[in-house]
Amino acid sequence: MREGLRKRRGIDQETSWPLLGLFKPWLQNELRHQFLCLKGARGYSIAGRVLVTVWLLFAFIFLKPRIAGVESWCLPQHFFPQIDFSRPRIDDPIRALVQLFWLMFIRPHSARRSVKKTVGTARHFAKYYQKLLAVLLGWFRLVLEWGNRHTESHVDGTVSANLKKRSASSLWERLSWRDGLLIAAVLVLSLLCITVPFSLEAQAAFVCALLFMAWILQRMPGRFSSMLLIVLSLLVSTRYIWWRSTNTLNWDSPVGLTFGIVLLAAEIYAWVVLVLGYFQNIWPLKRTPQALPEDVNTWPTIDLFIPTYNEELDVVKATVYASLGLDWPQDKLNIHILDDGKRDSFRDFAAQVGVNYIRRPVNNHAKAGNINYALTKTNAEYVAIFDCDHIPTRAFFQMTMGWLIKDPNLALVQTPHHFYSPDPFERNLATFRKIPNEGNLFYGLIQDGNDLWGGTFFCGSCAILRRKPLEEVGGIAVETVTEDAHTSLRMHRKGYGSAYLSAPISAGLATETLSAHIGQRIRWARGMAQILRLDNPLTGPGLRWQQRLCYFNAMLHFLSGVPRLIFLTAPLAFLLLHTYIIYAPALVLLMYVIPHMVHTASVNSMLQGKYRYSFWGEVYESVLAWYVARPTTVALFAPHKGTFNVTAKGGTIERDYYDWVISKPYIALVVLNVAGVIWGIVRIISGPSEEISAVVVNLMWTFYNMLILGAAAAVGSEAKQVRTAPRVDVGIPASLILPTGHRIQATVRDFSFGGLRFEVADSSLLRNSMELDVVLRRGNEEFTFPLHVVYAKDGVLGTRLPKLSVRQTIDYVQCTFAKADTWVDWKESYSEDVPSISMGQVVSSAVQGYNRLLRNSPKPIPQIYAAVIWMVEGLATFRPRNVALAVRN
Amino acid sequence: MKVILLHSIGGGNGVTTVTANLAAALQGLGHRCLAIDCTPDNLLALHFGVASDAVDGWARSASLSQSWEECGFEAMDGGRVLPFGMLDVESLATLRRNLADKPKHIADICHALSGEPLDYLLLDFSAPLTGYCSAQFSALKDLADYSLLIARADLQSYRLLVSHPLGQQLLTDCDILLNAVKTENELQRDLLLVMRRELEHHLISNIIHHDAAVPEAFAHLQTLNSYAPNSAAALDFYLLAVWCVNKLAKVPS
Repeated sequence: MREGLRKRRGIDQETSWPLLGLFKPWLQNELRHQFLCLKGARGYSIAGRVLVTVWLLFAFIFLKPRIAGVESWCLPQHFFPQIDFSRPRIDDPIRALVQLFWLMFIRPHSARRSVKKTVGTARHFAKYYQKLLAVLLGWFRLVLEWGNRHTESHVDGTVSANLKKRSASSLWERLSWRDGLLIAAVLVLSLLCITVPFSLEAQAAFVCALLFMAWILQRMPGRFSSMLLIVLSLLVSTRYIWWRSTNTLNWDSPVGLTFGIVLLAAEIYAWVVLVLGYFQNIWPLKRTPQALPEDVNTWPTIDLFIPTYNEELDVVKATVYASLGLDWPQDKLNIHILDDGKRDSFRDFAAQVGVNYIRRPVNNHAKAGNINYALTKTNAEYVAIFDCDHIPTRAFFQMTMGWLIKDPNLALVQTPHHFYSPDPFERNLATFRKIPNEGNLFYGLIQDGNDLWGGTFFCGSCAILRRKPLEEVGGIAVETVTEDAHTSLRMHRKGYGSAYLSAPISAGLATETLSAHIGQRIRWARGMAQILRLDNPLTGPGLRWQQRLCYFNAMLHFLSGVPRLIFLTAPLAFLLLHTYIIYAPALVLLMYVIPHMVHTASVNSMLQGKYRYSFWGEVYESVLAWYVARPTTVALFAPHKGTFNVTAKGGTIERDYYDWVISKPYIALVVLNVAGVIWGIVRIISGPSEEISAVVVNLMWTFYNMLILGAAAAVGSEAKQVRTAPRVDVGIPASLILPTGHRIQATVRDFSFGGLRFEVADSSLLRNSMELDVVLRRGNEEFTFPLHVVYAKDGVLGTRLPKLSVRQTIDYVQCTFAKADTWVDWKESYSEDVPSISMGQVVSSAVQGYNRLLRNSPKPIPQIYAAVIWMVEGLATFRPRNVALAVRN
Repeated sequence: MKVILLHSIGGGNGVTTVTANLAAALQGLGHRCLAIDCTPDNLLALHFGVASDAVDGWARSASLSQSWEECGFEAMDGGRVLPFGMLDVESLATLRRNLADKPKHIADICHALSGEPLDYLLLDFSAPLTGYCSAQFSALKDLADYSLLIARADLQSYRLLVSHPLGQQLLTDCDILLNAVKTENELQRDLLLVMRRELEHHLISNIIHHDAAVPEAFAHLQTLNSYAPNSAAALDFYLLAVWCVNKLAKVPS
């Protein structure tokens, strides 16, 4: 029986059908070819064989060779791509009918007509107005260019004035009476623009005019046009807030009024942050390094502090090794490990490599206390502070010290915290080095913006402080948990300056897990709220108003938790509780809120372009919102509560898991929003018809919130991270020395503390598990390190570093992590923000988030989800497909 | 046509190897090159793949009072070589005597070539001071647009270059290229640093690393460029060629 079966199958495969013998050889070949072409991925079933055979014979006998530009025998495949004719299924006739209906009545018809019509009108329109537009734009551009020149010269003056530490009052002295009149006129006009109530039509005309202007300004280069854009955005947003406060509160319903005021307060908060943000970022200073004096003997002495508490020795080692190679005269640089963990292994290590080790008798005030104790034990002119996981590159002091030497009033030079491992957001959303991370905005733009106003503050690491001012303010501040910002605030109060150098000249490890990341942010948020209470930058002596605003905005930023939660739940008040929290007709609301959003988004996209993509700020904020909401509120009312938590770094995550504990709040918000959506749809179907527009608006808002929440939920799903030593992607040229004496070119693709991966053009001489040497360059020198080859395949070479001597390890760190230009191109690798693309990224992250959420839920949900997906996918096979129709000839 | 003169203090520094591979690298950059072997050991042609039983060369022609113009060879990549030719001890001694009267003999060959479609003329003059004729060398040195002394990162070279009068004399108007440097060797690395400091006006920043592929290429009668293009030394020669092109860019050809 079985043998017979096998035989028959063999015959089938060879000849296809017995009927073939009837035809001439060329036709046999032709038909066999066609038969094979129509075979689907899974081969022929019996029914398919019959069907295709009948069709091919029919097509050969009755049809002309080509129909509608397609060879007639493959017509079914062409017009019904969703059907596998070699294996027909029972429901295929339905698919065929749907497709037939689509092809005959819908697609070709509509496509042809609409395209023709729109193209015609557009052309007509364009022809008519192009000339006029060109002339107008030309004039407009001339005006702008004049303005541009004017601003550049004017603001350059203020920048240098700022650097020369001229007092704030000089700005007022320099204003003439004409400027005063102009300012007064502008104020009156903008007041009119903001407060005058418009009819619906007038408002529509007003916002259209402004949007049109913004649209043109966006296409004009230069700072002047971006400033005008900011002005437009301010106008629109302020008008919106004014209208919201005066016209949209429902004074008749106490519940509605309460909710309305809460939402309005959140919006006013957002507006204040927006305005201060514009102020802060209007003109990033982009300071460049200052040259050091020629005579090395005049260079000052530096104490380099590496505070540590509970970090592993290996983490600290890298920083110490890198510090030992810093380009600074050896006798003028003292490296100190400040060990608060009182560990003998650290003391021994310090003695072994020849750096100083400081251990204090007590442990009070954590890192601040640790540094303050070390200040009493050391005496160099400058103090550089590096967290123990931040690795300085060799050029660090060369790049930064110039400013401190040049400007004796400068108390601080801060550089960015650059991370070479992905933070939880980047890892869990797989956006590492594709989408700017949370810190990019702060270190790329905000600190640089602060620098213009002399308000750059200390961030705890990767910075140099002048000892004198630091001691004048009593060392690092210990009253709050963000000792860094507080310290610089005090130094600013004493009249000292600060500078920011936006160059990635050190690199560190990002926090490992989402919970640790959130823990760190909670600390920052709490600390900032504490400073706001204990040492409010808006009051107190010594600060210029610009500095006050910069500090105030930094602190305000961390209070975003509560407002964010309000935004995420506000539409539910209408959808679920049926209260009008924005008491206005839907159309009017849209007329105010859409311009506000569009202007804000476009200005932010322009200002923040490379540092923060559109919509991602809201994702980052939403993840943190719940967690920072409580501690900041508590700290605002009781600033002395709360403890310091150390950020854990340098660990592994053995397997994928979903962090349910940390995701609980977003899941609750998601559930609420889903309920809102369902109830909203019910209301559209069965509710009163005059409410429908309001329901639709609120539903749109809810959908947007769900999008953001979905992306936030995706972050909660911790992706596996097994490597203890994160790899750094680079492209450093190197050469490999083989035991045979051959020396071949290679490119380092990534490196870590454990090994390197190379790309080689010719791997013919390389074998698995061979020993070889790699030669890396540092400046003009070459260093050789032994390596063990783990794998060699297709031009890629994976290697492991054996145990190196201390000297070799120092050299290795110097040639890799501490190489001056290792991190330079990371900064440039992000492209400019395109809001639509950014939206797409958020959407895909949200889809991913909901997918993970459902798959990881408790028992019945993943099964139901899988069933639904199966059903939807099944149904999707019925949908008609578009078919390219060839020109009929 | 630009003339590059390659020489060294003593033998064994790899002048011939450097000449052949530099010529190949220049050829690879799209420049037309001719290398002239000025050394009696007549090894340069081997690098270009000339059969080892070929005996012709300009010196042999000179001693036989024939024309040298028939003695050139062209390699696969278009690079050309003019060998010295095989001479026995007596003929070499005679040649020396004859050339003593014509100190510009090789220089004249160079002049005669100036009409040819050539971009670079490389002269392999392995050991001018201990070699067969120093008068020829001084004539060539006047002629050359760039002269490069090949040395090694070892104590011998260091001593000769830094404190020996022979070295001092050679170093006038001349750059030093360190050949076959083992940067993985601590002594050589240190010497490299010392020489960089003490000979900083002469030592160019390019070096040729020690690489087993170099003698292997020679054993295959090929230049490094074609035998092991991915070797580190091939990259070194490429960089050296780029350096020479830039260095000579301002010289009118």
